Amino acid sequence: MWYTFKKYKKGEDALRNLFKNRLFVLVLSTLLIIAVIVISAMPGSPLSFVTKPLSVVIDPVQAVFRSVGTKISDFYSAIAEGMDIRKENEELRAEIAELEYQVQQGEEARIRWEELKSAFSIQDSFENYHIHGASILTRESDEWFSVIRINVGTSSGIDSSTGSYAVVDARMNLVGRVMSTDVDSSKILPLLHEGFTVSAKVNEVNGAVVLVTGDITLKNDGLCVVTRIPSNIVLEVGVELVTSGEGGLFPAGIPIGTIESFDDSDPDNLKATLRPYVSISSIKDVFIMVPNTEDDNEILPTSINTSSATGEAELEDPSENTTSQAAPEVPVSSSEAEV
Amino acid sequence: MSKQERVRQILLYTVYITGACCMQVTFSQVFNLLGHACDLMLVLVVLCGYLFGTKDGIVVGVVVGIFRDYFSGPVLTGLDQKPVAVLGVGLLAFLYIGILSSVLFRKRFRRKYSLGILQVVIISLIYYSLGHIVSFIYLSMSGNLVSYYSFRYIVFSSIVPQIIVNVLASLPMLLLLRFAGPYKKGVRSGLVDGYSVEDRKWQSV
Repeated sequence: MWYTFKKYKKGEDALRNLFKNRLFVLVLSTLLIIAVIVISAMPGSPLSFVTKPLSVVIDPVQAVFRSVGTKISDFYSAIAEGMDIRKENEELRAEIAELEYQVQQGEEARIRWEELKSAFSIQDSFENYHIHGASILTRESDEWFSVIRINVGTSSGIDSSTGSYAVVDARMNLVGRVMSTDVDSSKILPLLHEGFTVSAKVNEVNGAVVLVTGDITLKNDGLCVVTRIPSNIVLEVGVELVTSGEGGLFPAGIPIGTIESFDDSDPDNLKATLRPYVSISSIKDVFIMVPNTEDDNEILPTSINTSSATGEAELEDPSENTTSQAAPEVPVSSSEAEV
Repeated sequence: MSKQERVRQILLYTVYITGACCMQVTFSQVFNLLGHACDLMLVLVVLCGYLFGTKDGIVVGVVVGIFRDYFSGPVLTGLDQKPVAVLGVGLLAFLYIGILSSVLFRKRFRRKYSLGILQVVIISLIYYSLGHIVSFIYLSMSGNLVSYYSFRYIVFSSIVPQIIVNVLASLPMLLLLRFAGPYKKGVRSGLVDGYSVEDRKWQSV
């Protein structure tokens, strides 16, 4: 008995000495953190829930910083740019008058479009999507810590556990996609990130399907790389690429950008660079495209999808409506948007 | 350390950590020079570790690392081959930055405020050099390496401008920690490093 106790005591002392060893504690901490990194990389990782309570505390604090900073910035901008603002105001008044005339014309076109849409059962480009507006909370810290956070999360109905969502700007140009969500914030993988990939097509009749990927060497210049270009295709500078809709994550027809250069030096591996329409460093607000659930949709027995890009119409299974969309160039109606 | 000093320490560290982290990720364009935003988080951890010792360096490093992971974590290829924002990389990096800045050249530099800038230069050089090396190895191993920066670009367009920007950010940060820092007169009482019991005498601007 006494021997057992003595042995136990000795073991306890050894353990205590071990934990007093700084090197041992450092190695142990390092291994624990590496385990955290590996676990967080697992699909459906339980560690993603760790950031949820953290977001409840940190997000409001960060929002206060952002709010104060924006107010200070706006105040100084108002003083510094007073004259410019007055001049711009006059120009805008003239522009408003012109736009009002265009709105009247547009209203007539809208009515005609609605009639045609009803007659041919045509779907709007993104009518099966709810559009959630959001502001950018945080931007990248350095070259490697480059995720963007926005101020909508599960409390706004954005839940990444059910799938990822496309993120666009106010002109419906592609910004990136939602990677993960917390209670009041979400992480966005931007278009320029080397981990970003989207299937795209040339925005013309029977346009070639290509792959747009972020590239580490091009992102500082605000460019992406275009690969998997069919060997008989020449992408001319200025050609517009839009999402192809393949893969199901991004609806078809979202504008991505224009071709900046084309490299045909290796005929088996044609490459091009693309300049996205979106300049992520300058945008403040984004919009998330959340597919409607089946309850939200009035699913037609068989819907006709038409594409303005291809001019083709094809019969499509209604169950695929949420992922594979037609792309007539019609903006999201204001009644659809939950902004 | 008295209760009052402890409260001051916790309160000011909270303000500085929150302020540096939030300002960096929210107003990165404002703190942008030569195409690089100054890394306030890194500068804060380096200076706290260097000026106030290993314990402070570790605590500040861990907290800042968690903030960094939370705000803008790095994206790696997940086990399902999809990109995922992982947790822990910032934590690990800043834990070591906190430790390294408190022990590196401690005997030679002591804890002189003006030499804090040199410590920022050295740690920034190590951090960004290692970052590029790890990034290159990771991209190569994951099969995602299409191309990588040239050595010339890494040195002259990435590391050097980033160090310059970080040094500029460290000047006001040093003044803050010296005159409105977590310790009175910018001196942490009882800080003994094992090399010199009078080490804190070097803590002067």
